[in-house]
Amino acid sequence: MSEHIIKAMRANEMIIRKSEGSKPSTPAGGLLSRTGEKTTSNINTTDNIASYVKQIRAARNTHA
Amino acid sequence: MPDASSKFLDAPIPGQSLTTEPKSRPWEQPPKYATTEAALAFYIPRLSNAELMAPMVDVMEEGTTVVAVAEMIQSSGVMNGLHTIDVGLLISPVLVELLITQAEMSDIEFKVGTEKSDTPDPSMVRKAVDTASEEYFDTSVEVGEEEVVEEAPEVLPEGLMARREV
Repeated sequence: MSEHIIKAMRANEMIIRKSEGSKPSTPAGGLLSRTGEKTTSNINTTDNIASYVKQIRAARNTHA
Repeated sequence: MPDASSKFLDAPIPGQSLTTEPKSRPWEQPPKYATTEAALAFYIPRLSNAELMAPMVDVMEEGTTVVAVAEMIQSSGVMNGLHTIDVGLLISPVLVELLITQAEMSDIEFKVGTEKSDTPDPSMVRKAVDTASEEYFDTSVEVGEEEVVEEAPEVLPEGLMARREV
């Protein structure tokens, strides 16, 4: 299972690297979205996960 | 013969899932949180709580990798019927980031689990050894490189019991 988690992390890293220039944004939709529709079923999961990771890293760097 | 540390000993015995009533286990029920967002809404407040995270931080300080701790968290979520394995794997990068944040805030030394180790992958070593031994023990003669064997001069048997030529 650890290998699968590492694979998921690598895939996530690639998504983050693609959007490296952009600032961390809130998820496009879903329960944790601040701007989008919370009840929408049209959620881009991979982008949202990358968005969460970017937000957590940004917060960590800010408060470090 | 596989030793006691082999992973296959951790695997379930064939038919083990049939030893309980169907749908009696939490993971056989529909998950409580069906989406990644719902699962993260459950995990994020818990993983951000320093008191709840203290035992996890201790485990990471003792040398357990962050990935292994994230795996433990998400598999226990699956076992308790909180979410599916798929959702668990999808949210695992976020769990890892939260755990790294907690570890850094606690100012401990930790390993993420994605670092490249100095020891080579055992499967790659085995493959290399197999390839090398195949070449070493290769008995097939390549076309065009047949060795010319000089024929030894025939030595005629001599002595009383030797067959005579007719």
